[in-house]
Amino acid sequence: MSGQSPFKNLRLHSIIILAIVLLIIAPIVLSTFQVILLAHALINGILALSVGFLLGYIGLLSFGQAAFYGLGAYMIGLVTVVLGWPFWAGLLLALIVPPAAGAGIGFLAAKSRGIYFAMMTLAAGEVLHRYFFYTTYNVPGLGITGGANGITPIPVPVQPPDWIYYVYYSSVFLVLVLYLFLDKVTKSSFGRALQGIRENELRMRFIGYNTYVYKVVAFSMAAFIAGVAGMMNALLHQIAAPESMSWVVSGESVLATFLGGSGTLVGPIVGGIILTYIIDRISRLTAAYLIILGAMVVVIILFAPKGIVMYLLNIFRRSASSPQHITSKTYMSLHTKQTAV
Amino acid sequence: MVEEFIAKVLLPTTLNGLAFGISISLLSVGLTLVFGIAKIINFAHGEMFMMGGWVAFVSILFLENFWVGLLIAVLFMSGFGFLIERYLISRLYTQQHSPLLILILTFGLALIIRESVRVFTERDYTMPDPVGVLVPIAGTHYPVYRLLVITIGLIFYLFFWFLINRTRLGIIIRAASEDSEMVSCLGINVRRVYTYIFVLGSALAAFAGVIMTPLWSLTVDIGATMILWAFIIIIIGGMGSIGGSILASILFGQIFALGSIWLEPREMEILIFGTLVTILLVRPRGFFGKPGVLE
Repeated sequence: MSGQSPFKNLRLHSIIILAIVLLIIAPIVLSTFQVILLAHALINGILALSVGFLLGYIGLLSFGQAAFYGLGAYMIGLVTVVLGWPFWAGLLLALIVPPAAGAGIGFLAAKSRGIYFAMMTLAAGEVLHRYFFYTTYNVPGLGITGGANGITPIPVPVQPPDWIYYVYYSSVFLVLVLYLFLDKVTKSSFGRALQGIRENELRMRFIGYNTYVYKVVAFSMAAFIAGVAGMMNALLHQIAAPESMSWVVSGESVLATFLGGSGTLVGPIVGGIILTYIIDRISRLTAAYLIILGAMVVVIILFAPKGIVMYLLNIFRRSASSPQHITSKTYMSLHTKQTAV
Repeated sequence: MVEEFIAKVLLPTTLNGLAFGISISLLSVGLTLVFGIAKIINFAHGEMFMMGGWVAFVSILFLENFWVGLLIAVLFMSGFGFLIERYLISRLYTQQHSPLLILILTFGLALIIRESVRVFTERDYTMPDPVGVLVPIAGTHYPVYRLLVITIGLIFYLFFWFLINRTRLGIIIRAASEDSEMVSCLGINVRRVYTYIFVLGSALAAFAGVIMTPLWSLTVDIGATMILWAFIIIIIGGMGSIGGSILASILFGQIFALGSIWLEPREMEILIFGTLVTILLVRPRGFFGKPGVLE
């Protein structure tokens, strides 16, 4: 974007590189348990990234992202434990099935917007959750999902103490790759069109975009990312559990997005990581940690609706220079010029 | 054989479904009313239902009268709804994307309410039938209380119709749901109308929560279950449409009751969500949804 100075990007990039280096050397000083927690945090960051991409760049609030997260996890479990196929086949299916399901659900839900979209995705996610929760592998025909216990243990190619590090480094790699991928996407003409849909879908349709297709494709992409997160989660804990599909997980990822700040790609990742640590700390103090989580939601929405991270960044920046926001009007004028050429 | 099936199974089940549908319609009417006028998606609505049930339960423990407990629960939850609307939700009306922010705010409130109640109790309770009389209908005996619930529901529908179509507040409500800015330009305090509506919605949720406890067991998680169902109902009925949500509630009650004769609970849930998706495919805005509402 021409409005931003290259130095600002340079600073962001150097922070990202620093963070990656820190993540790479972190296991030297951390215990195995802490590495598991950090990997879990990174995975939640990936899940929040998928929610943040949808909310921040297309303006779609998905309350059913856990469905794809769970599907990614279950694909590994189904393929390796229930069917007994090799490990790589599980990985492959975990990368294919969630985006396919995302395209299917998106096909139904993308006609709607706003609240309707949130409710449609919530309902679709709950259907999958209930299905996976209630069916067990003893029931002939349907039963493949292990019911309330989930599918466990998922066999992995390397034995557990070392395996944690494989998963951890894969997660670091995936966070980086998916971030760069979405960064490219949002800056491409496809991404610009998505942002146009966020600002004014009707106008985009008048310009000649088939907004429906754009929304379905973007939703499928987000489902892919959520599926990757679910796959990593299943590999980390070696279990595909039905709770990972419930709408509480979706709600937490929406919360993580708001915590970090929607409208950016770094925000949701950071939000997911911070939220994981917060939940971990509070749940050790009290069993009723969800009360505190709820109170956090209320405080964030009332006082920093753009996200805590953005809120703090703005406080830092306020002394230096006021941040440049691209308003919808300037954005649309830029975009209409671009398409007119 | 067939006659016996109709008398012993089909008739009571249909009536049960009607009582259930009517009680859940009070919940969903409140939800859709608040949405249609104030554009608030109240995720905490189910928790108001649950909390109303618990307040009534505690009051009944002390006072040993169901109807007094009902009154206390409704008054208590009205006050609670007033505080939430006035001091939390109303701060967000002027924000950009306020419906989404309010949705997430009420999601947080729902968590706080549910988990706070869970601190006090983990048990399930079933309230005894407050009337406790059976009446013979077509060769079978049916509890009077359920018939009373059906009657109360019908009286409420008349009340809604009168409120919306025959009162000054109703005119303001209808106008505000079309164009709230214009209404406030005419010198009407729309914010206050939002508050009234929110309080009415909370009272209805509490009312539904109390009258449903003798039909259904009272648990901490009932609010979360009910809110999902109520959302499904108001989407099927068309967001913001009172008639639509009443129709969808009664349909839902019948599907639920009749389906449970033949289906397992898990198949019921899939059937209900499947019905939602099918209806939305045919009619993307539900039965009576107006175009342009929050799109």
